[in-house]
Amino acid sequence: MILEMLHITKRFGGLIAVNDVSFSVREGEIFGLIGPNGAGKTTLINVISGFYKPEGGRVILNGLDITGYPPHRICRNGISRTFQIAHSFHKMTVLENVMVPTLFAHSNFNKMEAIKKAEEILEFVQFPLPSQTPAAKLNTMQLKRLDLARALASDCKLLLLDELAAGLTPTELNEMILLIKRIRDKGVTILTIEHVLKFIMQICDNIVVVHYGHKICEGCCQEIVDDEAVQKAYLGEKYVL
Amino acid sequence: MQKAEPKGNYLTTTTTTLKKYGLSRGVLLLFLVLAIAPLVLKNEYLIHLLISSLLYGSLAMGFDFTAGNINIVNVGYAAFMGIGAYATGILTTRLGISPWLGLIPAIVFAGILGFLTGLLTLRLRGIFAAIMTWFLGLTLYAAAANLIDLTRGQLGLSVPPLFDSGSKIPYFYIILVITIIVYVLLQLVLRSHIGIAFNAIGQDVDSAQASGVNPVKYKVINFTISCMIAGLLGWFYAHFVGILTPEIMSTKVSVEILALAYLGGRGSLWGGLLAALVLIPVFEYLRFLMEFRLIIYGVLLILVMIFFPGGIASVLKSLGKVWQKSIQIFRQMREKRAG
Repeated sequence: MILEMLHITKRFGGLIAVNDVSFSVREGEIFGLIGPNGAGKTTLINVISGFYKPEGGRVILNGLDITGYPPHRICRNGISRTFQIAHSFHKMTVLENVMVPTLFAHSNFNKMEAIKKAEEILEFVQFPLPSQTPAAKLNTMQLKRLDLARALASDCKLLLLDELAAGLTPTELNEMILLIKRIRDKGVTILTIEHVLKFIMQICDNIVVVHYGHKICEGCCQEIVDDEAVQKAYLGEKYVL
Repeated sequence: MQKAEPKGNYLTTTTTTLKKYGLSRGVLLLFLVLAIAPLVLKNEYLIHLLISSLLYGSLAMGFDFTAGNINIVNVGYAAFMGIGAYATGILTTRLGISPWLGLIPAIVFAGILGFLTGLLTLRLRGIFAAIMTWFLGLTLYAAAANLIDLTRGQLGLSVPPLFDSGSKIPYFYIILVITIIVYVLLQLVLRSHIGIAFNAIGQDVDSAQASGVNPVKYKVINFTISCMIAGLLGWFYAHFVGILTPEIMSTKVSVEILALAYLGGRGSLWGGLLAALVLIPVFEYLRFLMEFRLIIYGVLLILVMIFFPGGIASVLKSLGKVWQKSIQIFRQMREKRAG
């Protein structure tokens, strides 16, 4: 198990966003986290990546208890993430954006090595524009790809994707599916939140469904689709794979 | 012809090394002109003006180091200069230490306070951090005004000068050296890894954290450096002016520094210096405008923010680009004609 979530609870004042959720992610798999809006999916990613501290429960990465670590330490321990609304360093170029994690996630890189590494990553994610383009000029899709490149550049073992496929055209979606499979083939475990079911069902090995902060189901794609609770809460009746 | 080649290479390597320290041709020229200015001007009043300009210009650079990079506007910046000024002022008058030695406590006290401010503003973003620094500035101002036993409050604290002769020229060279040191030091920091971390934090804290940047560390480093510079300039101010009142810690002074830095161009560093060198003499000459100075700054700031968000620096940069492009076009036309 690369990641174990043990009885995670996260409250915001009186609202319990995540209530006693446990699951574990196996090394090398693509793991899906689905559920209706406001179910607590992004909260879970924020807990894993250190942006939120859980009120209860433990986050274990490869046997190491990382609960309550600050985000930059979690990044250095091998977990990176993308953001639901793609973030970027808007005054930097595309290349500089990707250089930030190469310089700070492993601090032993010098500038030349960091540039080389960043260029490799941009090529790997097939970034469509020259690396000297200012980040402020990118559109949403390009920003998402840049955010993904930035996340990959820290040489993570576990990659958390927050609605990466939202808003993609069918062609772009297929490209993204291929890209994510290539990332997995590099040996990176992936945990993804997604509403696009075509995407989830095509790539995920295992899925957890959350609803109102509770885990309501866990299993492979077929098991999820057949589950009555999931149909009621999220999929609607009779979703056919 | 062959002999000339290595010399050319030598020249290019020198310019590239100089560029590492941020000393582009324009900046070098500016410093050179300033260095010979007193020999040409021979007018104490003009030199006094240049000293004020350089002092405010350096303050604007120290301010921009924080505002233009980690994106926190330190509205209490003048108070940190005041801390440096009062540190040296009190120690030289009460303990009788040499004014030159006062440099060390001025930098150290302002630096420590900057460090603590950095810690205080950690959890605050943008405008809230700015308000925090503002309140801190107001508190320090009130302390300087009311701790009369220590600072003599509004009566003013007389501080011994650095030089016994009345000439301003030595002061000019001291502040010029300080300006160059501040500029080169800040450029060195900004061009290293640390500078990239500052920019990352300033542009997107979440993304920076997710990329392994520790915002606590770099915010504190930034505040400490910028406040140490304020302390250093406070030291110079105290011994140059000779009398200290709490007024140097007032928000008005901070706003003036802010205006210079923003008019010069956020994040450009040298923009604030240039703005100070232009605007402060202009205001001195148009004395009747002195009273309206802050109003004029306000109007200028609004105009710059709407029409030239990058300030003087970006205007000059785009002019430079236009210049280079026209040279290129001119060359192409000539080649076409020749061909």
